[in-house]
Amino acid sequence: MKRRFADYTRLARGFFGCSSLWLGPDHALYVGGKGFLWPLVEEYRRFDYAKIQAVAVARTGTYLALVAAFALPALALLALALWSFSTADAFNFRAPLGALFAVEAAFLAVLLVVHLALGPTCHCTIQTAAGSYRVRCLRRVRAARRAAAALSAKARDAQADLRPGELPDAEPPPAPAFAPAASLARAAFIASAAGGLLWLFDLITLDLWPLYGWMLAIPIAWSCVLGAQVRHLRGYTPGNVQSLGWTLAALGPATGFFLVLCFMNYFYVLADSAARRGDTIGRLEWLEWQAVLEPGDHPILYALSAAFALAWAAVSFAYQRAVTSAAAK
Amino acid sequence: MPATIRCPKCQTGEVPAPDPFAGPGTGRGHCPLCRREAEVFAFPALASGPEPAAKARPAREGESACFHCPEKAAESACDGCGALICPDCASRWGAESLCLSCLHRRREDKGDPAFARRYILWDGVALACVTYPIFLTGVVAYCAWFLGFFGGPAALYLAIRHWKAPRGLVPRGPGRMLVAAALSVVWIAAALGLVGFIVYAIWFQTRS
Repeated sequence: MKRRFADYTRLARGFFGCSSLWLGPDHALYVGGKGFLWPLVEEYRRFDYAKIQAVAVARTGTYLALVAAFALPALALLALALWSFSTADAFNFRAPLGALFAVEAAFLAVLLVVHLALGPTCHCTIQTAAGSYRVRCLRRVRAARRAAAALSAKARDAQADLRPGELPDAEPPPAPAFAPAASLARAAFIASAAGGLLWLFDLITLDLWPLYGWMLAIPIAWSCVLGAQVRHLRGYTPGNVQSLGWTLAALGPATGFFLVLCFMNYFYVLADSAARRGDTIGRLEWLEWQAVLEPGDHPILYALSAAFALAWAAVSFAYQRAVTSAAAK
Repeated sequence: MPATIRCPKCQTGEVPAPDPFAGPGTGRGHCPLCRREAEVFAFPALASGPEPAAKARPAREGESACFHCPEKAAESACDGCGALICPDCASRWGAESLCLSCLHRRREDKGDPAFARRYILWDGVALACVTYPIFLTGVVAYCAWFLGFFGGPAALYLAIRHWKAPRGLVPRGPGRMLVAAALSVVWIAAALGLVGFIVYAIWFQTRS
């Protein structure tokens, strides 16, 4: 992406050039891209220097969450790599497997170092009389401070003539209304329904090939729902809705994990029975780890999955009721 | 009453802002709702009170009247169309003073980049046609038929149709469009090759 065009100079840019902030002669230009991986639509917002009231920066917990997301898998992969190397011999493939784990751990370690070097994460907004707008390309405190300082110089120059005025003596703002998460419920339903249909398709066709793709789609759909849920709960949410929401957020992935385990086990049993008939088509290898579950453990696994699914459904129902009653108040 | 700003995190609570006339610098405040600390750079516009509304006076005998409201006196000329306008009908855009109809025309006119609000990035859309199905299914082989018969031709059409379309307000090169066109050609060739092979196989089967 260019650093300058026409009268504009780039102040900040986001990942993959999806959004950026530019300094113009008399206004700042925010370019917001919408799309997946790269922008499909760009929307523009112009902030007149004379009208900017404030720039605000608030740190977020994403920084620590990302540290955990990079560090924990990196440590786990490192441990796996060490275990693979220590148990490798001429008769197994653990040495190349260990090398693969080590490369993955190194990749995550590089990501972690880059993340640590970039510094804490934040939300940055520009406020005008018309409203407060989030600048999505300013996600790091250091970059946000630098951009705010540059904007500050321009805004103070443009507002040098302004004198203190009498602000209207308004009543303190009323307690905000709780916004029900209607879109969240819809998103959860769509993600669950789509995931269920895909699994059903796999079950009907009994083909493991599409499983690779769908297995990617289902966690993505669930992560979207979970992300929306956490985001909603971290805003203004009444206490009872919040506790139910966090329970639901914890139960969701656990239920998903057990269901995936169940399906994998089911496929292992199918593939195993197919192999016993002499139909060896090489499907067993990637399911072999399932063999650690003894046949006697299967009922426990299915019972646990059913219990989690039931608990998830019950808490989901209670959560929706609490949301509806809180919104009605 | 002290000035406040909207909390950048929850967008609901009011965070106290520092005195913007005390000079450059930042203040810190806590949102009463989400209890998050925010660093605030406040500017004089926050505490200068509401802007005085422009007041047009009635036109007197022999005085130029506003083009849009003839009962009011004109005080300036529109930089867009040159019409004489009163302060009520004038709007400022940077250094320009425009009448409301010129402002509306410029906002609606997509050719004027200074007023552009939104662009569809056709190069990105074309690239999405030939790549998104792969992300969706996770395996190339499984969605090759879709890419070859639908995604590829669609991307090629978009690349040719919108080759000269503006690629957003910030100028960019034709890289994405070229990649999309190349991938679409590859997918179409692969699909045609597959069809040719099937036809040949059927013909070979029936001949023998």
